Amino acid sequence: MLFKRLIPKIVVEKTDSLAPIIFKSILTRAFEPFRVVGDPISQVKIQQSNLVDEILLVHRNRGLFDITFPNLVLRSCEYLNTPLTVGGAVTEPSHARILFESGADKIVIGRARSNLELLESIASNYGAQALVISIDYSDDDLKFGVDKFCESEISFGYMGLAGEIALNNKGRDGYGEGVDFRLLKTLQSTTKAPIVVGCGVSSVEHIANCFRAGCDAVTLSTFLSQTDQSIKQIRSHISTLGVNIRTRN
Amino acid sequence: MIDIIGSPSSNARAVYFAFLDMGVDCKIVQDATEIHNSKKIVLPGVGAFGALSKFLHDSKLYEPLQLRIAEGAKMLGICLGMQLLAEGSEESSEYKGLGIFMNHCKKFEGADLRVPHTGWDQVSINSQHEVLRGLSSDFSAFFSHSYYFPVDINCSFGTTEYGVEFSSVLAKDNVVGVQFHPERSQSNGRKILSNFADWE
Repeated sequence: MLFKRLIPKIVVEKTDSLAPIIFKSILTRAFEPFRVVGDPISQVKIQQSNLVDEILLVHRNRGLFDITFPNLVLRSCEYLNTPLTVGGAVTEPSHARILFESGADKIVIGRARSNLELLESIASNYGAQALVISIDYSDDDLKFGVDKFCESEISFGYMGLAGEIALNNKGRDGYGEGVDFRLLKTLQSTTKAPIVVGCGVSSVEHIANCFRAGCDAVTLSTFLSQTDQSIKQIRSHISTLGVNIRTRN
Repeated sequence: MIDIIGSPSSNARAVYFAFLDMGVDCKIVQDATEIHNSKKIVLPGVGAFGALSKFLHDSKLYEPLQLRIAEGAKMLGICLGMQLLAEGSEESSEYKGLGIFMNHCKKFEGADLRVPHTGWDQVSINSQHEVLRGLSSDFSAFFSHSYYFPVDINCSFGTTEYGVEFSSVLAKDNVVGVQFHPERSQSNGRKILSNFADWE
């Protein structure tokens, strides 16, 4: 039976200084930088040694795509035998190509409605399973109701291209007040793609709630730096709550 | 030396790093002239059946690959690379696979089934094989695919259940295929890659 997944998210941002360390990993609040954590490669190595289900590496600086990010992906891959999803700065098919060549397994694209051509290009060249479409929304976007917002997103016609849909309520990012999965049911009835949720986890119960609601995976960022439980302990704790999660390799 | 076929949409790099990390000599190849003496070949794959089939034809690798396999070179197909070992796929009916197995890949269908089949799932070993040495009879591995290879008692060495039971490990003579990604399946995947490297 397919296991539910826990996906540590490593957000990176360029440092002001030049080489040798070009990227720092950071924690965010409402998608804005909040605190520096350290070196992304160390984070990757830590998560690899934790034998996590998958790693998400996100470049925060939009519109700043150059060779340094694919280089970071390539260096990360040297240490990884865990699936790697990357994204955050991809605006052209050539960006996606170089990230796949650097070892990314999947690419996550946000703001789907204005990136339709890019989405089509990735899905047709690499297959839908390599494309994660991220719907990053705020409570304000839902002011006319969940159904209206979902209807409007569905009307852009990108749902069928996605190998996975990620749902992130930006306002909840970094605050640990629980995950918003209000869009889940409506989207699950429209798309067959697995659904990943994130933003707002600060307890094992929060994670278990997402899985109980029917989500396929949960991304974790701030929570992992603020808990006294290791990922292994978190997994076995979730498993005791009746969730089908991998507890051994 | 292991030759890894590096089609433009494959994750050949991840397979390359995995072998490198284990101290296994390997290289990424994209040209027919580079495989005419190959003893071991890996065909990784990400993307669409038709695109990979077209790449093999366009780069004139299709027939040399079939020839190397017929001459006894050991071959490992990964994910889409495994599906290419079949005769064809519902995904792109106008394109042909390598035809090592006389089967056709099918699309996952099911009202409540999330597709693609993405994430870690169980592989049940039905028959032992060199490349499965050291693995428990029910091990987990990372999958990412929308089409599957139906169970065939003649060649299915491992199976997985997702709405339907499908082949997750195939083998016939000098050829093996795995539907999951051993290069992304942590220690279980490493065992498979290292067994393939040691396979005499």
